[in-house]
Amino acid sequence: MPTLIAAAEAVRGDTNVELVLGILLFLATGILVPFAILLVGKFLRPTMPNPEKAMPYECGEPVIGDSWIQFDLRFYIVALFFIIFDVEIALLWPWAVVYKGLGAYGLGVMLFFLVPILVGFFYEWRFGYLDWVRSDAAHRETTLGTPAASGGQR
Amino acid sequence: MSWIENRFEEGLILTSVDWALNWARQYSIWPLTFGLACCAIEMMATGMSRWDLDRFGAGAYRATPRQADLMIVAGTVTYKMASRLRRLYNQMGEPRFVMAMGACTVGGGPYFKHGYHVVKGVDLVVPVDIYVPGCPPRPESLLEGLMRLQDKIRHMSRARDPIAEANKRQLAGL
Repeated sequence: MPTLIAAAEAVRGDTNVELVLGILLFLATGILVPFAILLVGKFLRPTMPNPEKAMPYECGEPVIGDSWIQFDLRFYIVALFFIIFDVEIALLWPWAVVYKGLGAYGLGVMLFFLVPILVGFFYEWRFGYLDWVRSDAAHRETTLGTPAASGGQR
Repeated sequence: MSWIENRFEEGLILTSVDWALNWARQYSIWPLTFGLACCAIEMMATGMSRWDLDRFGAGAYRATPRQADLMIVAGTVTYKMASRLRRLYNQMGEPRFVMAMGACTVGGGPYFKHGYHVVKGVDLVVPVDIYVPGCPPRPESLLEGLMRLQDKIRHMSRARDPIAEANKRQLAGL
């Protein structure tokens, strides 16, 4: 520490060096202090692990099964939908409130935002992502050939 | 058991560490939300503005045992609940404390004779630090219990006790 201050005094004329030195001091403190705190905590804290502490918390009930289970992949589409419409509503609401003041410009800007979302929405509608069980008919049309043709190939 | 415990004999540094840790612990006793019966109503009243448990730093009721230091067993412990209670106690991080609030948890209370389903004292299930008698205890009693717990924490020591160790060795030799 004293050597650092001495170094800072030696280059007092050069404000840039002093500034860099200050930043370095700040960085060094910022990096060292968390490690020092973690180290002190390591010596002071009680460590008494047991298998029950590692169990998931179920209000004291015995745990049935694992908390890491497989979710149906289709939930991902639902989550995606939610985000899309959530953002849409969040942006549409303030826009609708001040709509009269914005005029044609406001309408144009909002259409610029809405049209791509609507394109995506119609895409999902068209190809059956809105149905929980994806419609077979839409799927058949997207693949090459008719069902009869693909059946014939087999 | 922490690294520092039972390692050094009493000295200036160790007593300072003791003082700092005990000071921090006694004013941040976070209780586990654990109201089992009618005593819980008094416990809730103690947490509210009239008695204000938060003055003692113990008003932050935690919904998980991992964050809690104190389990206020407020109410009748049935045999069915006892295993859950023990599991929750095991899931709490050290240092952990238990306060038996009310006659039922102290020793069965009104259910001592005919309560076929009631544990006759929660100290049969978990080690109890403070007993608060009453049916149910007044909030003042609960606060008194909390202050006694603070006293207990204030006197916790991490020092080695050579006399106790010698006594233990002697007992083992006999």
